Amino acid sequence: MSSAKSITLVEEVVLLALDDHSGRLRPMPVLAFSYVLAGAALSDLALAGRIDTDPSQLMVLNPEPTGDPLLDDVLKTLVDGPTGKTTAYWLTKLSQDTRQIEDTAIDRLVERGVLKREERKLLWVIGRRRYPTIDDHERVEVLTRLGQLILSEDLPDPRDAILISLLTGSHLALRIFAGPTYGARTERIQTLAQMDLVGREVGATVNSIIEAMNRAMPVGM
Amino acid sequence: MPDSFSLSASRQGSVTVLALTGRLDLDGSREFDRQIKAMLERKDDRIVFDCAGLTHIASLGLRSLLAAVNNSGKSGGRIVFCAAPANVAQIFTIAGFEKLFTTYPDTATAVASFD
Repeated sequence: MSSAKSITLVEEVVLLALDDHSGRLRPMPVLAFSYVLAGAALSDLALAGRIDTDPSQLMVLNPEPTGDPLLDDVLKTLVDGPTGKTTAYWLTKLSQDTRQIEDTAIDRLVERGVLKREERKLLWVIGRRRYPTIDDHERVEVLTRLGQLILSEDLPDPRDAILISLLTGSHLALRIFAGPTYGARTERIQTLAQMDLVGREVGATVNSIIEAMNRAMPVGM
Repeated sequence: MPDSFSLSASRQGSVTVLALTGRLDLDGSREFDRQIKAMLERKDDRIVFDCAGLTHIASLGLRSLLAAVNNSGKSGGRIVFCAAPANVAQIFTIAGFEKLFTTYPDTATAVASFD
C-alpha cells in the first residue's frame, strides 16, 4: 500500500488547499475551507463504515471509535446529536469549529515530513504562519492521479470521486486544476463531483453563501 | 428482517444476472463486495445488476456499485444495470451515475447488450 493510501481525506484536502509555493491557503470563498474540512471528516467516517448518507439524512451506522482521535471527535458529535438530520445540517454544525480538525491535520502532515511550519513576523509584531512543502511526493501523487482521472473517461475509484467532489464543492478544484487543458474538461469535473453526496452538499452550501454575499453586496457598491 | 440485502445469481448464456434485493446498506454492501470480488477473481465478469428488488441505496451502496463497475472494467469485464425502481433510479440520477453506468429498462435488454 502506498503512503498516499494511508493519508486521510482531511489531510489530503489540507495538503491540496495549501499553495505549495507560498505555504499559505489558496484563495477560497468565505467559509469554504471550514465546510470542506467538515465534509472531508464526514467522508473519512463514511469510508471507515461509521456513517452513511442519503439525500434525506445522515445515519450513524456504527458508533464504535475508529482509533483516529480527529475522526472520533467528529463521530462523538454525531452520536451525541439529534438523529434524522441531513448532511447539510451536520456540515453547517461541524463547520462552525474546524480549527481542531485543521490543526490536527497540519500537525500530522508536519510529522510525516510533508510540510514544515514557519513563523514569520510582519512588521516584527504580527505573526504569520505558513506551511511550505518539504516532501512533495504526496501532493504530486494525488494531483497526478486526479489529473489523469479528469483527463480520461475512466471510472473513478470511490475515494477519488469523494476527493474531487470535495475539491469542486469548495472551489479548490478551480485553483488546482487550472489552465486550458482542464478548462476543456469542466463537464467531466462536474460529472465526477456530482458522484458524492457530501461533496455535493459542500458545494451547494458554499454556493449559497456566495449568492447571499453577492445579494448583500451588489456590483458597483 | 424482510428488507435485508440478498443477492442471487443466474446464468443467461455467458452473462451472469445478479438480482439485488433489499437495502444495500452497511451489511448489504459488505456481502455485495465479497461476492463481486469472488466473481471477478474467477473472471465471471459479464454481469447484469438487476436492481428491481432494491428497496434502498445510499452513499455506501453507491460506492460499492462504483467500485464493482470500476474493478470489472480494469480486468476487461463489463457490468450493466437494469430495472432500477424509481427511488433507486432517482439516486442514480442525483449522483450522475446514469452518465457513467450503462442502464437498461429490463433484464432481457441488458443481457442482449452483451451479444
